[in-house]
Amino acid sequence: MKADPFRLIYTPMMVFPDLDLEAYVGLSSFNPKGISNSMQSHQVWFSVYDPSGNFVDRYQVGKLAPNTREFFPVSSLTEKYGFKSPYLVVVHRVPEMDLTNINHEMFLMFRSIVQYRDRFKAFGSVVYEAPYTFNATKRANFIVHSSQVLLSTEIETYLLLLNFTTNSETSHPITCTVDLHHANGKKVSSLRKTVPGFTGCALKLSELVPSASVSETPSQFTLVGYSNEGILIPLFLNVNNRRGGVSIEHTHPPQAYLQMPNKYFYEIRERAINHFLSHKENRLTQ
Amino acid sequence: MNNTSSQNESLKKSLLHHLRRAKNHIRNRLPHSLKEKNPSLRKYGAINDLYPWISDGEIDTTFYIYNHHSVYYPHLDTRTKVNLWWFDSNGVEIGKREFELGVLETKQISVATEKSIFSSPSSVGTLLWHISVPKAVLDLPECTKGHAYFADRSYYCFTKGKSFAAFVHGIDRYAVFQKGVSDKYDLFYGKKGNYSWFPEIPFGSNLGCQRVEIITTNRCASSQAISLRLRNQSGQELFTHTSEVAPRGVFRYVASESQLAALGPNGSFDLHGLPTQWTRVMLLMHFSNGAITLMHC
Repeated sequence: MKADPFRLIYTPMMVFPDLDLEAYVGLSSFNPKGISNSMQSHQVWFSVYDPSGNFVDRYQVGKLAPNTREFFPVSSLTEKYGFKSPYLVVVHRVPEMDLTNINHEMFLMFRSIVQYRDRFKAFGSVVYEAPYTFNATKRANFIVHSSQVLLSTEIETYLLLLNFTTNSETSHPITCTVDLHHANGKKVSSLRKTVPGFTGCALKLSELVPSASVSETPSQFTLVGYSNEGILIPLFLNVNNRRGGVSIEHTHPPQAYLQMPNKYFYEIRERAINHFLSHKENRLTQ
Repeated sequence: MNNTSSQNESLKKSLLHHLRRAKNHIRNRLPHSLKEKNPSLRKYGAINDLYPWISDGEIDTTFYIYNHHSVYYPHLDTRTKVNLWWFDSNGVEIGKREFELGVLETKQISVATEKSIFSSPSSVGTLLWHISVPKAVLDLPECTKGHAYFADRSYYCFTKGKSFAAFVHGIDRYAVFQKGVSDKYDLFYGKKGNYSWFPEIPFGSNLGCQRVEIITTNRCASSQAISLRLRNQSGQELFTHTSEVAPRGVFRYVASESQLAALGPNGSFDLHGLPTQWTRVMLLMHFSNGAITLMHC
């Protein structure tokens, strides 16, 4: 069976014109083990969605020669659309080879570097890969937790939430809840946010804490996010808007924390999500 | 002829399918100790990484030790305790301590403030910690029957003053704490390996950095010679560095602005002699405006 050439190696990423950050993607024609298909050249394509999640265009932006790596300026290569709000770009690498008998497992660990650069010429980068099928079933849920929330008069933290699926038939808006906790575990606030399919958002987390909590010395908070409507891709972005400086890091799904047979794992995840959903105090809706 | 070939192919696929099913059937009925290839994972407990740190007057490192058990078991009493061990750049223990961790609590551990307990001064090293699996969780069937292991994928942050902070997560596994025991551990990796890694990031003048630090740790039981090669876009090796890294020790190399310029816009680096397949590296990048950033690759 012929594999979908645009799903073999792809990376969904957000562009944030409203955050004054330029998006780039770093691509290679090999995986970091350095051996799989390293002699293969790849075409580089972008699929662009508008801020409402409607597919707009797919076009080739360049080519990667064998055994090379290169950054592509995603913001400038898509600025012709004039979007002012966050929008989704899916970056594809299409191997230049006969794809008739290609198995997507030949391209495991083909990761991309997603990078955001600020006007001070500083940047933050994160590396991730996307599986051949992602979020392809309607019934799914997710829970995420991270201590990457740091807030001060200089440092802002954004939670990036991306709603993407490889099966457009199952795409649907996903409402998730994020709870912010003080370091001592006490809940500060809670927010419900709906993210339409093929879109993403950047939640400004300083807006979820009392202004008195934000001072010159950075304060740390922990975030728990969850939904029983589908899976969102959460990333944390820390920026210093005053002096420059960007940091971005991905999160891990519960599977990374809980190594156990599926029958226990699914029960634990569902019970935890339902528990948090049932505690609705201090919850805002956006 | 084509028809016969097609029939043979179909028969082969069918046979393979049935063999795979039979293999899975037998495997599912084996006791866990026979199914689990890693001898360190045949009981139940917790898996922790070995984290690198810097605290040299310019850069400090802050660890956020978070009670993740509270997220997955919100209906239970997940209060617990944490043990942590500090090591210098050669993997020698220079300090340890223990503290309580409440429900959903995060303990913020800054190296600069911990230095008072170090037995010898050090500006680079590694940290191991262990969040004990709470008693209420240890008694659950996923532990006693399911051989559950709770991996701690925590985040840590390199900071520069109050203005700049960059996060990254733990990227590998180091210690396996069995059952409720917290004062000794097995190593996740047994024998050391000899792996190479070719990070995908275009590495050179295109980054616009003043310098880039390449950092990793040795998560095996014996010392390892780790080699770094910096190359230009043509793959030509311009700079090399090898260092013998002790168990629990740190590999750290600083690529200067002039070296980055010499590599050109789309240079690269690769590492060899890595002790584990997923050793990977941290890149700590310094910018001319004073900012820093951190990524794993």
